[in-house]
Amino acid sequence: MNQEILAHILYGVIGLAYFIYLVQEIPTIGVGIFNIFIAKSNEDKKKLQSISGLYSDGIEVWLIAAVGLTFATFPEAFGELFSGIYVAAYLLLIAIIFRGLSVELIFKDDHPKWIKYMSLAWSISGLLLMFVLGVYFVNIFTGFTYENQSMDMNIFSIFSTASISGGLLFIALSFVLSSVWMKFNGLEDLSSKAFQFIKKYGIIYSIPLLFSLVLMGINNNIVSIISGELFTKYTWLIAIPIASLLFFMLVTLFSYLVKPLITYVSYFLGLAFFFISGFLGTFPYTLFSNVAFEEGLTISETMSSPLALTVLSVVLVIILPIVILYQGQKYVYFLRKDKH
Amino acid sequence: MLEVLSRLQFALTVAFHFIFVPFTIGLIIFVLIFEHRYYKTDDQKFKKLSEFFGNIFIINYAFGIVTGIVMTVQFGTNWSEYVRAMGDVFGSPLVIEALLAFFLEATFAGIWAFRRNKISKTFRLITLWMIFIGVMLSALWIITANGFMQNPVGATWLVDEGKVIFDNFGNLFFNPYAWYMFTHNHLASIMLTSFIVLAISMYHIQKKHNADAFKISAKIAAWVILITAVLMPITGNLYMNLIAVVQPDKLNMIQNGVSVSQDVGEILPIYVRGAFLVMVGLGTFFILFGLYVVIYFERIYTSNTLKKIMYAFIPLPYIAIMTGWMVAEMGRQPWIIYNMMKVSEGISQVPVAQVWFSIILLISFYVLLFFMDYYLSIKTIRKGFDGDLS
Repeated sequence: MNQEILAHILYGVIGLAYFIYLVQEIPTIGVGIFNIFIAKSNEDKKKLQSISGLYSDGIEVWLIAAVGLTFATFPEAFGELFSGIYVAAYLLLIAIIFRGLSVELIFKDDHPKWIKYMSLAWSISGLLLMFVLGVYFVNIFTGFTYENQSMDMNIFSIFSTASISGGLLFIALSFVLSSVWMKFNGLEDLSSKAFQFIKKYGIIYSIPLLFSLVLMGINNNIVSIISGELFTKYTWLIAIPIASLLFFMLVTLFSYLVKPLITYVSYFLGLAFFFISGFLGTFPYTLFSNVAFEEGLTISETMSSPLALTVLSVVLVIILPIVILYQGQKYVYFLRKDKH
Repeated sequence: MLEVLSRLQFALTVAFHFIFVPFTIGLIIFVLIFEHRYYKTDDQKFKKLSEFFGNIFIINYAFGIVTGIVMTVQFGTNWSEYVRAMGDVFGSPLVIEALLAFFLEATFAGIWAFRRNKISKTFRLITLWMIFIGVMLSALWIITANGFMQNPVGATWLVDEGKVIFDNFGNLFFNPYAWYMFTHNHLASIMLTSFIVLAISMYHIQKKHNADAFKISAKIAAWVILITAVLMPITGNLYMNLIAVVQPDKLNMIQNGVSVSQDVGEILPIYVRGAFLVMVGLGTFFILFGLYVVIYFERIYTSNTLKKIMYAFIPLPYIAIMTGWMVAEMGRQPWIIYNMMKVSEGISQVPVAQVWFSIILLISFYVLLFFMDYYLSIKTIRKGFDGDLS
């Protein structure tokens, strides 16, 4: 197959891998964040650990796969991007390390102090992870100050109203969706406490507000996803970010009414449309410059060789469905088993 | 300064990550052996052995996986010029590793860690097989990537563009350098684990905790030490024959402690030779040690003094495997990709302050992680079958 076509398909697969990662990660991270707020006994904490830890490593691999695919498919964009977001990348790593360890190891020692500090680490690392991921994705969709083939970034460049709102949005979503996740896993009491918590502190109401700030923020520049190639050519595409906002409003509504399934569906679609908006808006750039469109790096400029793209495509075609099948089967098997 | 810091950070993070890797590579094999015996015989002894060592596996696996993610991201943050030049070839093995290996081991490790007592015996066994296959494939593909850096085959260097272009997947995968490395490293990892399993088993025998069960694990470990210790020099020798052809300067450093390259100075080749001598010396000792523990197993079994000596030997295989990697990595200096690209050409041009930030951040957290792992592992080991095996 043509090199450019393969590169374009892989661009979509990278977006898909990031989406699959986040759509699973947000609810399980929220379970960890919640552990210090609603789980007072070790027994409750163990229940939360069980519904998060069973899946967390498998979920994390989607992030590794997405990052690895960017590396292999668009090496130049990968190098520029990660050296540009250096500090955020390390904050993300520290959050991933502590979240991964705390969920696995919290009950490997029964000393009360160990459990106390690991609970705290589980919650704080979850908050940090959600915040940094929100900041990261909003930056990907807003673009970077990239011109003359170099990043003009400092430690604070990644923080803007939009990106901070994105970070807070991910935190709010993780609170809401983890309440749903607890319900799906048959933890009725904890789920009720979680729903009460997110209503009491107004977390559910913040979602549409924060998402509106994200949308306004990422379109604040002259160079933005809305003024990008596809959105300019096909104006009806504007319906996608609007749909995303509507679905996030439905998350608020249905979580207020404590309707777990439909809350989850709204969240899934809201996040999906947000990602589709972002990836369509930044198309055909693998590194989107908010200085000027022509400064960005495109798919064609940064793609790997035909053989590399062919190898990646063949491996993905064979392995990805198998991975989705066994991970999906794991959810079906254990959700059914745990509920009973 | 930027180059020194980037090198230092990579060396520290990879060395720290590698504390956990060989141990988990070997330990999953032991866990699988015990689980197989439990599956076949329904003997609770084997179930307990499988869960006890499986618990230690999960602790070290957790540390291994999180410190491994740092390596992938670090290529982008600190080695972006290398990625730009080599990503075309180097990226594919990393993606294949994630898709084939990481998904498998991570998905099933979650089941082993959190549901192993709520699933059938067959499902337990399948779970461990999947983790084992994942671990094997992970080691294979990361060494395929490293093998390319040592002996770049399957790609052509485009001088004008300053990057490589991937032209033969078969050559990359069947790179003999990678296969020798994989075999040698895997044997070393299994041996290292056997030293630890032997010491842990002897500890419980000494304490008279389930001595009959731990006698089985000790005996298996003793035999595995002997077998791997005999195989190591054989694979090592074959590996050296290839090095003589594809990396003559490395051989020069190993044999004479000197290099023809002007870039490496006089000290580094001496370190390479020193590391090689330590590795070979320990390798020779391991054969004698293996013979001793197999032949005089019963004597060790009854003598508390000999058992205590077993604990003291645990650092030795770590030193051997680390010095082996020092020979492999320091011996290819100044090249990041042998005879193609120098290490100094691969670093990211980022502000030095940022690299200071990441080094200090990582060192602080890694010191904490080291103590956490040590504390938990020792506590779990001491508890034996009385620990939380559920």
